[in-house]
Amino acid sequence: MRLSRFAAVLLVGLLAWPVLGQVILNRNLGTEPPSADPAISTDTTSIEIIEHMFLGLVDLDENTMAPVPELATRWEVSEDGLTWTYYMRNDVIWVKYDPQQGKVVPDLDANGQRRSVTAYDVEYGVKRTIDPNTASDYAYVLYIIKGAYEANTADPTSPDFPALMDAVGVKALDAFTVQFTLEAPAGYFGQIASMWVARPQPKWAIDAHGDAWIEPENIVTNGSYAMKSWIHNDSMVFVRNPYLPDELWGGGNIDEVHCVMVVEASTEFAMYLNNELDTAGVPLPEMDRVKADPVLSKELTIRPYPCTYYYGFITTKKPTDDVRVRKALSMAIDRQTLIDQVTKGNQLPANTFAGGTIFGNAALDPRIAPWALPENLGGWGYDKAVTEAQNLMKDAGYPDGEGLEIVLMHNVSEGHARIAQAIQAMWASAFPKAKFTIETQEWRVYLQTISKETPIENMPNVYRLGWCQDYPDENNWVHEVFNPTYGNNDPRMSPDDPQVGQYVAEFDRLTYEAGRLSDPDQRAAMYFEAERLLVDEIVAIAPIYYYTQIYVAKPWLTRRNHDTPHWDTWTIDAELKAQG
Amino acid sequence: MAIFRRRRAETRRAEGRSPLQDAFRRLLKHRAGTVGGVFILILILVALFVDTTIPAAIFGWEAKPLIAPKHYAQVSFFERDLPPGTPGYLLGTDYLGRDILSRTLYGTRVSLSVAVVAATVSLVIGLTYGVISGFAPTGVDNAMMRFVDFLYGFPLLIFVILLQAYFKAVSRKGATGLVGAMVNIDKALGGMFFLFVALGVLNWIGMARLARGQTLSVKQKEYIESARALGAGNLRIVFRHVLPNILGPCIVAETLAIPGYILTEAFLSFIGLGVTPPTPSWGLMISETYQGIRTFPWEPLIPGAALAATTLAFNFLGDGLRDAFDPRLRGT
Repeated sequence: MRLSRFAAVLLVGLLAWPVLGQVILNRNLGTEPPSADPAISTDTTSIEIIEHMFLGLVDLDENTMAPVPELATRWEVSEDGLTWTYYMRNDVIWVKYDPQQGKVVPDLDANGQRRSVTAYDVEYGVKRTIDPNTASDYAYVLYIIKGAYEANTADPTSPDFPALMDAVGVKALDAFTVQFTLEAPAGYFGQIASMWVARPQPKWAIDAHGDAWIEPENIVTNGSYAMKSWIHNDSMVFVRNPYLPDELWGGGNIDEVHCVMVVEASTEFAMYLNNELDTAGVPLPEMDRVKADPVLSKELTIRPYPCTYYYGFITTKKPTDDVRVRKALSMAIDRQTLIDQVTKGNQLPANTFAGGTIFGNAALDPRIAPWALPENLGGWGYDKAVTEAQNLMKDAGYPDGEGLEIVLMHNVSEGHARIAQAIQAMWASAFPKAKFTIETQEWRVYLQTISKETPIENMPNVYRLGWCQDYPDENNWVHEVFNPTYGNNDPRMSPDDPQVGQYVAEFDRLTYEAGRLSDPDQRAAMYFEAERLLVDEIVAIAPIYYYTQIYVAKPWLTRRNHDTPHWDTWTIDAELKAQG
Repeated sequence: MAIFRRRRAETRRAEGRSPLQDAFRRLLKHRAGTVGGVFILILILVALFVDTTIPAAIFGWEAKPLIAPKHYAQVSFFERDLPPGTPGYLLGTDYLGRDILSRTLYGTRVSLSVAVVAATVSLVIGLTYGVISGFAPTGVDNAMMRFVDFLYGFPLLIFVILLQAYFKAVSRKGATGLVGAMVNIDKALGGMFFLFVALGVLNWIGMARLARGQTLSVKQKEYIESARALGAGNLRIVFRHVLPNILGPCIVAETLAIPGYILTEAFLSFIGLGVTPPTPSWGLMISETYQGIRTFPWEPLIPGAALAATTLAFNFLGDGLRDAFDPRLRGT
């Protein structure tokens, strides 16, 4: 008995010994990643794991958002801005995790040779995203590449489809040089080249395993971490890639990242308090406690985050088809109080769609929608705004909101429900005789409801959404989200609108043309006007606040703040962590 | 002589009491049942007079809070998350600075309406269906019961969720005619009407089975035979002899089912398919605040306590009623 217990202790000790030397990060992904495929991912969780498994041609500087070398050591742009040539390094190889050897090993080709990451892999990756057979929801961000739109919207069974795919303007000139040809000189293409949809992808693995190529036994990667395991809806483990060139490593010391997939924010926070996670988000109801707590407040970080929370108006449904009603509703939202008392995350009140880190933004500029800003930011302040809102509502034929019925819809979430009820209360006190109804739907149903295919009688008047940047340029905001011809245009703006049709036509033109210019000043001026039209003239949306990222991190964890986390830049003091 | 007279008097007194009166006397002796009953009576009074809705509806006034100190939707952004005992807010405030006492009191209205309406609907439909089935010829009885069996195999909660989702979609579309009228009633009730429909329409099947079984057993009794021999028709037998004798067990079963309805409402509101905010329901109040239970424990605990006390009261009352209607079952 004694002996066997001793043997057991010895055995556990021996098994644990190699692990003890490892620096492990415990992180919550927050949900099962919908995908790990760079061509089709759309959400922040998938993008976070892709960021670590696949290198891009370039990365973005965490502060300036400017492209910095990653796979490409340098790049050239032609005089006319239409041809971008990237020169890649030749010392990055494809790797995979081998469970037999228990470590990351190079992926070998049929001749037993290591496979380098080449320009052909980049060309394949970009074309696979564009290929309509891949059905990528994010192919549209590559439409600026010559022929991409035609290929992506073509019928893949038609005889001229292969020719269309060949005509797409991405070409490997040799093994380590890749050239892009653009439709128009787009000043933001450098940021596009950093995106996950433009990353090299392993053709041989995808051909061999189909959709299952992202499973841990099949996946081949080249980034800072390799996937060791993926237990769906439960956990993932990533192991540092020892074959990554030193210059591409971010300077951190984390060997393994153990991810869980806890959806409930309150559970995540409890795990953090229990030292089961090294870093975590802060649930809304806990903000007051965290700010007041002497220990937790030191572990708290609040930083700007390139997302905007907004309410959209359906501009073709009564009574929000009247621009005066839309403007009055937008004016009657007390953004500063909402931030101070409900969201509590030091967010900034929003008077435009795009926030302060995006190229071309006009955030907090009181020349646009000054009624949305408090007096200390140069705006009107809420008292003046609400008086003006009541006048507008009276002009629209609803004095005190009499006869006004508004349906506000949001997807099921405790945080959205709090904000919706707070805004409902603000509207109800500004327009006491109006009727405001809140409805909720599950996320997938909700996205279906607010899409343009839904018949107008099934639509709410007001819908909630947030938008986060894919790349830091206004083209990704006003154009791709709201352009009436090319964007989603959920508010259903139309140039035929009797009140604001001319502004819609002008907005359409500005956002389209600004994306095809390379002169930064000219582009910024056009985006300024587009933002003004969107928020102040058409009033298709009521921007509410610019997000902040709110997290707590244990004292032993040092995080650098990329918008998409870069674990290879994080360091953990393992001794401190072991003490707990 | 004296003995004889006293006996006669006793007999007379006994004759003067119906089975229901007897049951009521026995119920009063059942301590837990009485406490539960009194608690529910208080709740009914609270639900009726929490504000002046009823006289306001008759005289066309604006409804004002009566028992509740404040209106349930009165937001005060700068007085949020106050703990119980704060001056002006006996039980504190929630995350929008709304008075939790008032919202809990208003919540009584939702829970009790659901209890009363769903129970009545299910009792009326189930009893009618069960008695007809038990009294009808074998073929009809079989057909009716197979239909009930079919419904029994149905995932009820999912059906309620679908029904709620459908009604919400219809009400957004703007309907006319009968559905339109229902949509308007629903809006006036803060989203409760369709909850009643969904709960009541589906919960009668257990009652139908019980009522049929009771009818079958009563049908064999001698007094039915004698009534038939005296020439009584089917209707008379059902209403005079069958119904009064099976009502007791049915009421008991229904009372014991009420906590289930209340909890279903709380659950539906919890997942966003119940009442429409800001109408307070206990389930909704819990779902809105449970994430902050570490920092503001009173916000979910107060409506939670109200919910627990109410379901407990109905269970006690059901127990008491069961013992009262059938003393042989006491303690089982």
